[in-house]
Amino acid sequence: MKKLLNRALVFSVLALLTIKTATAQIADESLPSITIGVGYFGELITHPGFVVFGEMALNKHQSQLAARLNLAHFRHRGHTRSFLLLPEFIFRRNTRSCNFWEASLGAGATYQRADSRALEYENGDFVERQSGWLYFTPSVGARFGRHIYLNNGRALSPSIGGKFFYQYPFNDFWLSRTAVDVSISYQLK
Amino acid sequence: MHRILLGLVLFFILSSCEKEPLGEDFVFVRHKDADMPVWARGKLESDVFIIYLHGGPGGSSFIDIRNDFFAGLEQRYGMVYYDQRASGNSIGKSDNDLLTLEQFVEDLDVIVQYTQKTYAPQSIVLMGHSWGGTLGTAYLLEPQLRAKIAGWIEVDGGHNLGIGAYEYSRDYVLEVADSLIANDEDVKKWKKIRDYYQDKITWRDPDVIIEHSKNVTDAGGYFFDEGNREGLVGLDQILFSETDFMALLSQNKHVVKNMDIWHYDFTNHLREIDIPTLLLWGISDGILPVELAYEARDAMNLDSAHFHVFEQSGHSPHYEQTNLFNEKVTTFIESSVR
Repeated sequence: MKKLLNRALVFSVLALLTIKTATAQIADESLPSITIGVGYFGELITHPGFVVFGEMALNKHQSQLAARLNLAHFRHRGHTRSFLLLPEFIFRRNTRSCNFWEASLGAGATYQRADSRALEYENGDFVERQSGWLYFTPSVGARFGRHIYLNNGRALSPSIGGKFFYQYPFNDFWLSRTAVDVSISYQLK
Repeated sequence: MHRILLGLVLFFILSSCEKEPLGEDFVFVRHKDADMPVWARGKLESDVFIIYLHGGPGGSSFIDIRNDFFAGLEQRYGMVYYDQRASGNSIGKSDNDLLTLEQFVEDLDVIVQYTQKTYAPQSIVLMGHSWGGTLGTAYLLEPQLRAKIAGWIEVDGGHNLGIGAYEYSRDYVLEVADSLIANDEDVKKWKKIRDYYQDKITWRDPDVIIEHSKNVTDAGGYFFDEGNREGLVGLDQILFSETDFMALLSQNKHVVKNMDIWHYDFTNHLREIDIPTLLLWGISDGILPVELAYEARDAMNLDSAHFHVFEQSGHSPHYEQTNLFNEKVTTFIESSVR
């Protein structure tokens, strides 16, 4: 246990140092870069949907900090549709060979609704209703990709990533979900 | 790199092809912050409808549907499947305080009313498996609710989840343990399992019921033939069906941990259920052993036409002897309900 705590401490210090470096680099940049993207978003890989996102990177160096806003949707056909509004804080590491990996931490909301008719029982009768539930959604994610620099100097970046997120209070507990997204983004500026 | 990514995108798009749509008769019925999926299938113009009460608690009827266990019944009757509150594919914000037998009985009555209003059958039959047997029994012990129902089919059901049921099930595991120890098979494991029960006098504790259930699984108490477990829930269902497996698995665990049901014993009240009843049981059921069936048969004074023990089944005869099961149900409905 003690060994584990020591490792966690070392890891935390290294992580803080990295963030400090990145923060210092932010100050060097006068303008943040803006990126937009689109991709496949599949809950449990195969329950299909899409994601669109906008990202503001706060610097352009090897260790980047960025903020991303995701709008995602996935569907269990005939059963439910889920929509996510998920702001994320991103730490990205760019390699010299134009690859990158990133870790993300987010907190937003999931709106889940029935993908079919919904009837509410009211005093012995059944009334047609829109079935929809709003849940708090924290998330962690990881992604790997590559920057391809175009003639105009902007980056086109295909990537593949996974997210682990929760819906709360889903029937009074934290319902965990996993999703994979395969996306491509374009650097606007 | 580009080709790999393109390939991955194509794979995910192609792999997202799903099974056929659920059709018009799939709806969610909302009651007290729970949206319960209700799926009516089969001969919807039939004058007999069967409402299926899944097991668990916290299970799902979608597994039974996708395995076509009741396809034989769907050819003759209307079948109504629903996932109970906070179970299976139900969604919503149902509070833990509503995880009670009383609330589940109230929910079932909502489904009965939905079936009456939507399909107006002459007869509604309840069919409860495992925990569904507890739920159905509790429903039918209310005279005003029983009046809505024309027949009752209990399948390896939990009309008794009390100490007596626990002792039968515990003894099943201990017998298997003693037998394997005597045969020098995995002695350390089975001695540990045997020792586990030394200070356990009840299963009215979530940790005990979860551990006991694992032991019953290891003892082969859910299936007559362990090979039948294969394919019950395949990757096909997990990845390509409408079923929300993350919710299904999590809800099952959540309900078992939060629902205090492992003490109900309705055996002495079963004679109050004065509608036609069929008891179906698997002979090698280890979680709700067949002794419970004999007790219920005697309490309800059922003759051989209304009682059957499946000789090649464990806890779920509709899984393991599907055709014979559907035949028994059909005979019962045609001779005793219609």
